[in-house]
Amino acid sequence: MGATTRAAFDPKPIRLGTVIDMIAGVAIYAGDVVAFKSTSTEDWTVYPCDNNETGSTGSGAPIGVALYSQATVGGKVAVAGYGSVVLVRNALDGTAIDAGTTIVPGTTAGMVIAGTAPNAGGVDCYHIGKALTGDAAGGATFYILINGPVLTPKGAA
Amino acid sequence: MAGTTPAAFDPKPKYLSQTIDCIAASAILAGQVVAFNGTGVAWTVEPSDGVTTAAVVGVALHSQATVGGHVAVAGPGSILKVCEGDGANIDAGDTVVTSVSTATGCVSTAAQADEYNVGVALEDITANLTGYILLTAPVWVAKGA
Repeated sequence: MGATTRAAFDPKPIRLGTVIDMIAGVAIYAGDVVAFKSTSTEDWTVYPCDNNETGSTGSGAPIGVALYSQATVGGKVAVAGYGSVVLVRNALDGTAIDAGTTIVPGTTAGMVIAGTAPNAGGVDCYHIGKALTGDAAGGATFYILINGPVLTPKGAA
Repeated sequence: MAGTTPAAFDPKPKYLSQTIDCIAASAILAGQVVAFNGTGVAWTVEPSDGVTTAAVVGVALHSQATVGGHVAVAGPGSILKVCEGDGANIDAGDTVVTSVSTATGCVSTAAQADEYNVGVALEDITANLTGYILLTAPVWVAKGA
């Protein structure tokens, strides 16, 4: 199992729900899941999602999927959000994701992994949506229905 | 800072998703987050208070002073303004929930307790003032044991 290599791809929306005009905090690739910084005070500004935030990624609320690339910091990027059906990329090459799985931000910028049941993962996390098609081999793209972001606290230690 | 005194304001939607024709259980002000009462009456909502109200439906698009009158409620997927209620600033990206103060129909930052999520702040919202959110409600989130 390894990390998937990040690259721009067409998220090929089957349905667009809420599309939000956001601002790129760093360069963003088409198909990236984008999120606020975890301690954000930047209005309308998103970064590639990452569950282990770095200087160029965000582990705050994931808003949706970038519909095109935006290389310019401060440039606008259209984000397919709530109610959209779009492709996202599995962050773990060789690790399958089943249809119906709850999807959360992954360990590689802009990508996703399978979430655990609410409160069972031992960490606070944001749910992005539900897998509609899954990824049997890992590392590939698959369709999700975005119905987040939903903060799901882990509960008491 | 003190809690907010509820007042009507224009929620200025940038995007309207599902809009639901509901019935007012009590007087509702434009811009208030509205929810079912815990007792559950068909299609009937009131300003959320985080105590006696349950599932959040959305944000009232206009005021309705008459009990039993109709009110248009902007639902999940909408982008519009809500009012901060507890007297504490909200940051862009924060999950917002129903205020549990006397500021009925207002929101505050998630306490990560058992609560209904209302949505996510898209910009900083100053205490007692209004700002834009993405509505994702109603989502019941239990914190676990």
